[in-house]
Amino acid sequence: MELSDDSDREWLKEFEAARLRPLEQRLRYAFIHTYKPILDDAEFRSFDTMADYRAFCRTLPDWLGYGD
Amino acid sequence: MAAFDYRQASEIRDAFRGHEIRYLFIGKSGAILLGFPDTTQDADLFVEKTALNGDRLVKALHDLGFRLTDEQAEEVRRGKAFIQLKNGPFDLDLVFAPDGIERRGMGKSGAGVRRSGVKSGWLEDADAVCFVIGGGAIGFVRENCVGRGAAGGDT
Repeated sequence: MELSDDSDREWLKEFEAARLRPLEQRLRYAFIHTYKPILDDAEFRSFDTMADYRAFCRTLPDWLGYGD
Repeated sequence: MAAFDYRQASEIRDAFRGHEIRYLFIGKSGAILLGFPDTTQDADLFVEKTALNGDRLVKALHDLGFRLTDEQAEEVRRGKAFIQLKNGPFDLDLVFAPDGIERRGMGKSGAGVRRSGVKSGWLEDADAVCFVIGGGAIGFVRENCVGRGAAGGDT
């Protein structure tokens, strides 16, 4: 693999480190849960189209990172 | 609500296998299963949109502990484009029409998904994981990933 810069090398190191961990441990590190306002305030939501879903995401606080 | 964990990924695999559901882990959760070193908050499943698969999915979700009203179950059966479930033991997003993935004929040995000219296949036992990162490649694990920790595939 050709590495173009230091950030690529950092990425590669992270992937190599993750590769050495068993799947169970990777999942324990990877999945987190924090309360997300609005998003977590309903137990069920459904959307007829992905465009509808994206429109809903634009109503969420920016800091959640679900908008455009 | 606790974070999604290995045991729950295994439970999805077992329940979906038991009901012969055709699905893929997608998004960042799929990438993480393959070894992508990042974090996320829930699991996203791309579920094949057929009446039979939808019916089986409702049964599997019930087995997993999701509490669906009759109306909600019908929406799952119909395969609405995007469904967020937070009424079970973990958060789960069902995506029947994921952006960027064009569904093709899903016969027993047929191609399943295509993106940017890259073709992959579905597995009959549904032990498959695919991922899409930043509009780039789609990855696909050919063997049982959850439980074995294997991460191999083709793109």
